[in-house]
Amino acid sequence: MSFSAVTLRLLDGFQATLFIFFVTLFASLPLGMVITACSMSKFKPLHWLTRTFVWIIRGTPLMLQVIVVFFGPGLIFDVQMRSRMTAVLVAFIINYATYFSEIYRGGIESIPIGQHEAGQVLGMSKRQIFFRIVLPQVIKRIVPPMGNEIITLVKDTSLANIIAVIELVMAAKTIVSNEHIIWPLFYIGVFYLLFCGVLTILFNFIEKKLNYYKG
Amino acid sequence: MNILEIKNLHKAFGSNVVLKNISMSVSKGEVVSIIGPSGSGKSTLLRCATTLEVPDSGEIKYFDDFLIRTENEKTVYADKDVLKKIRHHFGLVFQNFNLFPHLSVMRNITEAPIIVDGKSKKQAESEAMELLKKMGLSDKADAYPCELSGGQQQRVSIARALALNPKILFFDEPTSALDPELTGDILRVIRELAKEHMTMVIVTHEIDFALHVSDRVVFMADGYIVEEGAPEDVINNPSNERTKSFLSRLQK
Amino acid sequence: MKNKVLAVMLAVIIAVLTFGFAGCKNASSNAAASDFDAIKSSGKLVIGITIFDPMNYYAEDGVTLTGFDTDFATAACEKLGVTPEFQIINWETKEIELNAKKIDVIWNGFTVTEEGKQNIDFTNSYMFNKQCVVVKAENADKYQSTADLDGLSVVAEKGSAGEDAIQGDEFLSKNYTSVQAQTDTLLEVKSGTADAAVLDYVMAKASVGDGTSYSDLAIVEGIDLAYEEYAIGCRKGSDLDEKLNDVMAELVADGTIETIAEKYDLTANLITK
Repeated sequence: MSFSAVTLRLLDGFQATLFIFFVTLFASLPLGMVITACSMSKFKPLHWLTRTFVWIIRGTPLMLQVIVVFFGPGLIFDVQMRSRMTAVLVAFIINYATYFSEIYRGGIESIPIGQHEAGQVLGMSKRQIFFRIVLPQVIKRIVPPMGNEIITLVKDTSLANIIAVIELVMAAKTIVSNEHIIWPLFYIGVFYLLFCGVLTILFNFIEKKLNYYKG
Repeated sequence: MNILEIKNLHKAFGSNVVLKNISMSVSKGEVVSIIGPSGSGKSTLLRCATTLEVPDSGEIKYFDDFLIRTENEKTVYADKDVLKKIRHHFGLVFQNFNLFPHLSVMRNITEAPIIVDGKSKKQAESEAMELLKKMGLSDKADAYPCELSGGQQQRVSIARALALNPKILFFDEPTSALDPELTGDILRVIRELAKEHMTMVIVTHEIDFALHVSDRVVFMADGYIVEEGAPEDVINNPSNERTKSFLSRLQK
Repeated sequence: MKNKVLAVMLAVIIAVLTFGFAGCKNASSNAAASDFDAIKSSGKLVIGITIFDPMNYYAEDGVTLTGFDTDFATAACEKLGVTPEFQIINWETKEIELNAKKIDVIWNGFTVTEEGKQNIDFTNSYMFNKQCVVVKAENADKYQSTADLDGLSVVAEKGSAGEDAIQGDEFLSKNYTSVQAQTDTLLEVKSGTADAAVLDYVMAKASVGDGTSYSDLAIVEGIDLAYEEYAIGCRKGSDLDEKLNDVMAELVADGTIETIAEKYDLTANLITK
């Protein structure tokens, strides 16, 4: 099979990889905030429920979570989730939202209490303090760990192949099995490298943009 | 006329009672210094008065608005609207400035007037410029806090507090986080404000400063007000043993 | 106040997830005990496969699925009156796929084993295979029995019939490593990281020798391991295996299977009872 034919077929898989990446990213960024809010809630039952949830999600492999979401309902309740892609997205979004929520929480908690107090004595509402004082500082602080996590997401998309979603790795494995050629499996590394390279440049740019003050 | 009145104020953190039956008042134009050893409760008193701590019982009143009062032997706290009104009466300057690092000096000062008072950006900025001039920082409007010295940062934070036109200004050890050679700048600014008859309550370790600037000195120890009166009396002729030993230790 | 808002938010999320799953509930789940009826009413048979040349693989265009089992299953579905839906799966999770009803059958050169029979209802066997040893072509003549391979490094796919064969052999099992896929075993031998690979005879025939990526590899003639038979795997307790046996008998009788086997050069492997 020619190089261009393999590239063309791998691009199909890469499309699925990009789809998983972007849908997961855009859904889990806001969902992570909801989890952060629950996790930092002063209402203890909600706080503990969320902490337990975070423990479970962070304490088990994403691969296992994908398997549970996809096969679990069918095995336990005889209820079917037909779409393999949907199962992958559900598992990925929950997993990444949880990780993001912990980064958000760390960022929020790293802002000194004095910043809240300064806003409070200036008469700002809780909402104004959060959105105008705390959040802009949190964003600057969490950009490096978020960049790390998002680049990890690029490579984690390959875990979708456990339930045979045809993303980049599965596409390569299929070509390898079908054509009895080996090199496509190594060739996909280039796709991941290029994509992560673009993201790295983007995050460096954002970090630079936010570097107008220290602290 | 009393701007601030505190009666029988109690505050405990768990079993540790920090404020015991504190009563004091501050009248318009008065400069009151609160001195005393560490852990005497002076900072907590200031934090209670500025809504950063919630007292357990007693009374705090700004003009006619109660922050906390006792009614039928039950403690009643101000509701949201009154709280908002009360926060308008006072300003607070923190020990470690607490400037907003992500905002320029100008925006540090104008943020609250614009979003809390609803002032126009133009008006807020021209008022902020006036304040910066007064603080000797006209050229720093576009700088970020991290680019300023500690003394300059503290002056910005005073300007930030003044921008809301408070009726009374609190200082929580305003020079403690500064190098000794920078404290002079801040004390000069406070002295200027005193000349303009700004009502101020200053928690400080600068005994000399308390003596020369304040109209009244309050000495606190172990959660009590041990002694209060004219600066010369409290500082130069203390009647209480605690005050004497504290002052003699400081002057060593 | 804020807590209530959060509590309501959480309740909504839980509700959405719960009803979301309920919404996915498929018609087949409320079907009667009969697996076959459920498949009939859904109108399609979901067939679990992996890319396994010559049973199921993609044609030149890279889109059209072809192969012996592909054609066989398509012909059988026509007789059953349902549409075949080929679903690529991971071989390691085939039993879960089947039990979770993600697929209805495993039809992919599936080796009948005693262990397998405990979890899966097999149809009658339609093909036999054996495991063979693949080595570098220049060494192929050196070996006559497994004893000649004593101490050499051997690879096979994890969980495959080849692995079983190795583990049952005192010489091959001495220096054995499992790998992820049958194709990986060939890659290991080609790259020199292993001396010999044990894999399906049918697959080895299709994969090595002139005109393939593994032209420098060859099957060791004379060492036959683990004779095995292929059948279709159905859910335990399903009535589908009986129906498929009937259909298979028809396809044998009218010569369809023979024709398909010829197309893929598998006539010699066919079992026609």
